[in-house]
Amino acid sequence: MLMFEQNVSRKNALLLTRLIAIFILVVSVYSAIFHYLMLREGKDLHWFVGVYWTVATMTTVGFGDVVFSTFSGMLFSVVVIISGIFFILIIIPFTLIQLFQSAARVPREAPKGITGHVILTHYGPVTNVLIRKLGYYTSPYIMLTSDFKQAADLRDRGIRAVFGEVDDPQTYAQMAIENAALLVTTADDVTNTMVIHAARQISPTVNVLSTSTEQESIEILRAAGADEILSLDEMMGQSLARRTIAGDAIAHIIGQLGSLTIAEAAALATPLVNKKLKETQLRSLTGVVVIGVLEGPDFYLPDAERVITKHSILILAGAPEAIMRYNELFCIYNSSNDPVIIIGAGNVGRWVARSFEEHGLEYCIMEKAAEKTADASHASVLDAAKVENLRTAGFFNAPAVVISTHKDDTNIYLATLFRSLRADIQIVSRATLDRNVALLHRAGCDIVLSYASFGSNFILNHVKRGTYLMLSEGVDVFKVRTPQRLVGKSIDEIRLRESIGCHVVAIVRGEKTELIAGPDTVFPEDSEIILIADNESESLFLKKYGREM
Amino acid sequence: MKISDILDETRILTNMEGDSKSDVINSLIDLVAVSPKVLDKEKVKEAIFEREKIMSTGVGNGFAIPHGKTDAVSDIVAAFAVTKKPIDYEALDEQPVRLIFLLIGKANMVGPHIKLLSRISRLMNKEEFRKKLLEAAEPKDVMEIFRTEEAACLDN
Repeated sequence: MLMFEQNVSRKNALLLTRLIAIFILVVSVYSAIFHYLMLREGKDLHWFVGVYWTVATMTTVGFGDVVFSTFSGMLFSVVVIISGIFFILIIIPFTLIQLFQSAARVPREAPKGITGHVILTHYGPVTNVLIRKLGYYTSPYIMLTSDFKQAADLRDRGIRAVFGEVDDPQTYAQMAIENAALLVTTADDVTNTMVIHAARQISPTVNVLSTSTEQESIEILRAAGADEILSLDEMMGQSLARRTIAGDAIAHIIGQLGSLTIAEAAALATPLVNKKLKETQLRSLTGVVVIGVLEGPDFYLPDAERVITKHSILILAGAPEAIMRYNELFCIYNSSNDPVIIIGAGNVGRWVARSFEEHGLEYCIMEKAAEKTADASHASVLDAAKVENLRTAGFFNAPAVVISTHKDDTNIYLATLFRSLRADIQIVSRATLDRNVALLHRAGCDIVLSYASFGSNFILNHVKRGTYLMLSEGVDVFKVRTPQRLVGKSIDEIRLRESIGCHVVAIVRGEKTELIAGPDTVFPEDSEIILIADNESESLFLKKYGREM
Repeated sequence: MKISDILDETRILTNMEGDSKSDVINSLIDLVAVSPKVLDKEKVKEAIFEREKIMSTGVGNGFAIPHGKTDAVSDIVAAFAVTKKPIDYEALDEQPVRLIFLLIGKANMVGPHIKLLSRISRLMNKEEFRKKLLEAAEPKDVMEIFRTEEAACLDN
């Protein structure tokens, strides 16, 4: 972002300097001619009178206190007046318009010399969040759009938008695609295919990441030249299913960072409830450590004195074997057979169902539109907004309900209804827009995952080469090179947690990932650290140490 | 692997005597110890009680799943009992227990062990199912109840 803004202000300064220089030059030349002609009329005047006369004449003020009496003098006056009109009425306004509009001026090509940048080809909720996250890491990007007005609006908002037709191969040459780190296309499957073909025409080697909506499109996108294809609906569905704590108490794996597995487990109906973290002895029993605790929308860094409640979701880190040991201890608790209700048989809803099936959990899909239920198993054509339908579907016995529709207003309405009917049911919901997450929580949801954050985090993880993992809305685990300032110092000395709010989880050296043993652990040279933090603390950390990584 | 595959009538008791948690666990271990798959009964006992010491396997709703993993068995073994009287098992819901399922897995078979434990727990959480087990008169009735319930779950 900085590079673009610096370019714009440099151009502005240049424009203004040139304008002033031309004005001074013109005034100087006219003053010199004025003195020459005055001398010919026998008048030897002070040098400043020339400047005074030129400015008064050019601005068409013409006080009349200094005048020529010869023909050549009068002719010169006319020339100065006409050039004054031209300069004051045309050149200055035109330059000033350019000056004030320069921020909104939309370039049609990438800034000169740009390299290692990410080219984004579709502006939407996912890219909007992604751009913010790329900003934290000061990663260069270009937001390419075929809509000129959108490009101008985005630039007004400080987004590095560039105008160009996304289906024209030439556009990608102008985006310096050969030097780019990644091209990301997040539109519909048809547009994505076209974008990939156009980009590949210019660069057969650039790394291309595309999202896909339909399963059938994956092969098409791959054939077009995509290196990585993300089915966000699938990932969203699996994640919503993982968050549904009604089925069991085992640790569900979120992802890997180095050789560390990050997982989450519900504490409900386990012997952990009402115990302090330090009393659980999970590390000595299983090898896993608790690196965070989620209580509804709230996230807490691990604290020995924190009491685990029946609403707690524990964020766990450990080797895969340690996670297995945890599951061996806890898999017998909180097992339920009552079906979980899934609202919506769209892509995301179906992936939730598939995920439940894999884990042997019972479910029942409620879908208003008959055509969507045709080929979905355990699905009924029922409007979930009607209480009698909910009764039919088994809502009043269900341990949890997953709201998967893409309409946030519908989700908010249903969450409010469900909460009013049952205080003890777990409500897990999808939000399409980031800004509706808070409203869904307010409506009574226990867990809300926004499509925008979710998608952008997956893409960011790809950009950062598997060093980034989103745990929940606004909480991430990330791996960075150990900042030079921290090398040789202990956890206790640097107090990252107290000063910034980041908790150091592990140190990675080569292939080896070691969980932090205690406050005496010293940060070694040539290492990486894995941290957990909310977005605000993450951004603070990157601002403070980003340059050293 | 199904529960009905690892359980048989000779490993089921419908009116088990016993006054305490350790009584009933020991009786169940005695029941499986005659199996040739059990190589060392004492080591099995050690594994089961070791696990029980960490946290109670009395998961609530009147049932418990004592379990452990050890090299002292050559394959997964299981036993099931309905106790004559309710037992104080230090269960999570502090309610007495009458249904006890014992599972002993091989040390290196973590995945199947976890899957079986989850399945047992899920079945036992069904109120109707527990009711049927409590009313079963003979081990063969218990076996039939397990078979029927598992088949119904797999069909769904």
